[in-house]
Amino acid sequence: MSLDEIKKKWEKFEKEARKLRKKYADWEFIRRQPPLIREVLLYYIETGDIRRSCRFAKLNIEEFRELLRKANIPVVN
Amino acid sequence: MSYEIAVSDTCFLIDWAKYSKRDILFKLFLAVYIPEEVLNEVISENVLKWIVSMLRQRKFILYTARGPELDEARRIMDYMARIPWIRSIETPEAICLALGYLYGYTVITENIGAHQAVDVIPGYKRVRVMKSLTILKEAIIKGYISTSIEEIERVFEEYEVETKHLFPIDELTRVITEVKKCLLMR
Repeated sequence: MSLDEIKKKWEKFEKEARKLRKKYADWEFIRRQPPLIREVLLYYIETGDIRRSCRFAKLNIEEFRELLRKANIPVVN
Repeated sequence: MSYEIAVSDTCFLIDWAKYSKRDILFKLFLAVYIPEEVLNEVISENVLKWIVSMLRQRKFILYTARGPELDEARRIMDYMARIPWIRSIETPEAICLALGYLYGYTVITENIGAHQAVDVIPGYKRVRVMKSLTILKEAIIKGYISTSIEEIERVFEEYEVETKHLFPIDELTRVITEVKKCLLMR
């Protein structure tokens, strides 16, 4: 598989994962969060990148996973 | 009994600590290594309690990565950082991948970056990287989770509900079809 084909394969995956995160997210909960946390949750919904999201939110990975639970944002993979 | 060794990343442990059928892991693998860098990320009592209990039973084994393993992990991170569309990968999962590459351990991780790594890094195709979906699939096929063909979907649903982890629909459908085929052939 060429790098381009690999990229397309993962783009398809990312598209579906993003759709599911958006569908299940508790948007009211997200709106009620402090500005930085709200922004990071939106970043996570868009990218699914938990490592960077943790760093931006200044939270440990477990703390961030707990935040995702509260926001009803599923981890998709 | 399996003689296969696995090495686990953090997110996988966080999810599986919540899963009622988590013991199937130790039917699939003789032992699961936990790198210190992974353990350092775990802070909640329930996950730590499970890890300590399994360490006591020698089903989990704490692993301290050393020189060449850390060098390989660094090489993985450097390689991945040069591909802009790929998910970020950090030290804990890079160490898991390095151990998979150097010693043939199965890497168990939910980190998409780790799954992408085997697609893009030359030589990494041979590293076996599994996630919950593929582990459940294997556990059903090997009979470690007993279910009827009609109830296969329930196994995956149960995992999703208990861990709040969703499987992509296309992939889940494909896996369920494969499992059904295997069970029908018995």
